[in-house]
Amino acid sequence: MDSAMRYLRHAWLSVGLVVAPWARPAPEQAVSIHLFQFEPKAVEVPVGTLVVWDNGDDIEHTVTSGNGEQADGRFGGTLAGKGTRFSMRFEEPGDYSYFCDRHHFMRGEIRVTPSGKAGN
Amino acid sequence: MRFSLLPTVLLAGGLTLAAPQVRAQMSGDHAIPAATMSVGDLRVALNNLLAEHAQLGLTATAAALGGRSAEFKAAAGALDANSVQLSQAIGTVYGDGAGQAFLALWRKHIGFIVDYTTGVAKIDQKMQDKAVNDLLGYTKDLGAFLSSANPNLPTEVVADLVKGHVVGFKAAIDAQAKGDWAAAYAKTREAVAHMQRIADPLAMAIAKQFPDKYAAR
Repeated sequence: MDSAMRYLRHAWLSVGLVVAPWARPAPEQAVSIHLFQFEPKAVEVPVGTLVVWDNGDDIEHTVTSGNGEQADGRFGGTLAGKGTRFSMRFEEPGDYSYFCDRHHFMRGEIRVTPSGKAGN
Repeated sequence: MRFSLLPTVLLAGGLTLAAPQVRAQMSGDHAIPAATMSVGDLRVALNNLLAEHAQLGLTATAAALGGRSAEFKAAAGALDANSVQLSQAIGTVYGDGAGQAFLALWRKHIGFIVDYTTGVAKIDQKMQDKAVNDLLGYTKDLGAFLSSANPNLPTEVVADLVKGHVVGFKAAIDAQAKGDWAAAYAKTREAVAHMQRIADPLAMAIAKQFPDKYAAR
């Protein structure tokens, strides 16, 4: 019985040690789309952050990386209508501009900082 | 050729041509104050702005189709000043960001009207068809914008009303291009009158959404 308990405790600690780093919740940043605007328009997030766009307009929008005139192909997704979402995890530090390809005046910015250096 | 100058004129008189001084001259007209106002005043202000939009828009297309460059530039400038003022009215109600988004969206449909007029002038059916398709797509965009701003304005209802605006404009432009001035001015009056069908529900929906701001008196 004693050895069984020891085994269980050992197993539990092993699993805990392996799982712990993965169990930490990954950072997320929400960006809403409302009244044909990305809100917040500019965000600063640590590397590894999952950015989630949520379409609140009753119309199709896109999240298209690029400067508003031209897509640069780094990332992109379509949000077909109200309540649809698109998400993207940013694994590399840097500045990312994006826009809506259907409404080029809708523009946003994401600054991805090295881990632990972000402030919003 | 009668229309040889048109594309240049239309481009020169494009969507952002309104000079600051033109905007300044227009800035006091039909203004919607931020303070509490009556529903009636809101209706009048929106009706004035939207009727002016139709009138100036068709003045601009008539000048463009007639090859009257200077007149077109002036009309397009006044039209853009009207657009800015309309966006400021939206911004007063829904915030500056919404006002700016509305302005970009509103200017877009004026651009499509310019495309259609250019297509008519050049007798380019493909260009006309594309412009009409763009305009019809735009009606859904504007419907979605206003519906997002105000739950009392269903997307499809607004889209249908804006579609009526687009169809009325097209009919007036077609008559202008044919030189059928009796029809052109009859269609212009219809187009101006149609704006009330947009302005009234918009005003009522805003008043319903913000009863404290727009008193029922």
